[in-house]
Amino acid sequence: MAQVISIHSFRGGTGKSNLTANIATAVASHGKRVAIVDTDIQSPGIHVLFGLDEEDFTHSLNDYLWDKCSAKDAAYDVTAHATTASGTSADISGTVYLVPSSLKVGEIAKILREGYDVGLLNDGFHDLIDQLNLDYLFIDTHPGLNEETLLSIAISDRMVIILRPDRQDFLGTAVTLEVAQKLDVPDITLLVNKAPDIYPRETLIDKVQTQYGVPVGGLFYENDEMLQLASGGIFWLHHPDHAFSQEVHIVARQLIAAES
Amino acid sequence: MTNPAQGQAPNPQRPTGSKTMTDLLALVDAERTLVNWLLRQRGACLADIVAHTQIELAATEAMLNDLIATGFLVYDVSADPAVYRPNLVSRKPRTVPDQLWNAMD
Ligand SMILES: Nc1ncnc2c1ncn2[C@@H]1O[C@H](COP(=O)(O)OP(=O)(O)OP(=O)(O)O)[C@@H](O)[C@H]1O
Ligand SMILES: [Mg+2]
Repeated sequence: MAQVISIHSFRGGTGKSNLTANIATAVASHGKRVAIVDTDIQSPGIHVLFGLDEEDFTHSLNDYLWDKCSAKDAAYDVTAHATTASGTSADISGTVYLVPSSLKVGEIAKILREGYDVGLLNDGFHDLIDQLNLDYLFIDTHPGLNEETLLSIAISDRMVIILRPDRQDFLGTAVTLEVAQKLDVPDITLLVNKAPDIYPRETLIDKVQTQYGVPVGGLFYENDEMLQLASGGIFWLHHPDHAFSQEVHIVARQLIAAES
Repeated sequence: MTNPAQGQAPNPQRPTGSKTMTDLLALVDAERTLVNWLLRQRGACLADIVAHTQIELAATEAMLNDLIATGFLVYDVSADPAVYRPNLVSRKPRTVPDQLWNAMD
């Protein structure tokens, strides 16, 4: 059975898109077939991490939701776009698909104004799983709680919530967790990102786990290499020995182990 | 002239598919749990629903009928056996202007 994993944060800029692309690619490096769906219809962006732009796509999630194409038509095999620091394609043994969201202003406005049938989005996720024979479907989301994120929470097997060690993030995460419980999400994992290096690892993990009663799957420190990469690639492929990359692999292995 | 603020008779022709995920959050526990489960299943027939809820048939049917009446579910008879499906949209159709016009009649 394929696992649907949705990645959320209450506030913006926590690192959802970067962590989603990194973790999904790491899972694929174990020979798994994964897809990433960009449900951040208002401010899409995860395709950038694969070095792609608007011209590289004929179809988007929007086209699927308007019945202009099948879900599979909007899925692009981006495995070869996961490149190393030297610009060559990394040798990923599995496959990574990406379903981008439209970057056309008119199309973004239209879907926000008119909405769409939630059942259709749900069906699209399942069509992707069946037709692409996926092991994992990752859903990158818009920050905060809106209709799209509520749906992705409701249908996911696992929800990953990303937070920074920041009081506003802490408050927002409590709200997100309450909603996840109301929507009966079977498994929830917290990832702490952008931790300042003054915080010792165990202290921080302990603090977060105690506060929420939910396991912390990974702790990522804020770092200059990430800032320099500036979403210009998949971090762990550029810096394979970096502590951030090792943590990405720990999370990826946890996800694989949880399923088997 | 009618004051629009007093014209609050509910619109009897409430279109189906007007419920959102936010509305789902506001349901009472038993109903919300059932709709959550149906969302994950993408619909289920009565026998499967009863097997899942473990609530007696009459009570389950009553809850399903309520959820159809309030627009959260549809009963799809084109499937065999017929299935109950969630019927949610990401945005509410704009009914406010209609209500205003009705109130002005
Ligand atoms: N551990 C880190 N250290 C330093 N910079 C980071 C770290 N994690 C993410 N960033 C940077 O933070 C910025 C935001 O990251 P990203 O776009 O992945 O966040 P997001 O949660 O998807 O944002 P949005 O809410 O807008 O979708 C990017 O510039 C990224 O390079
Ligand atoms: Mg993002």
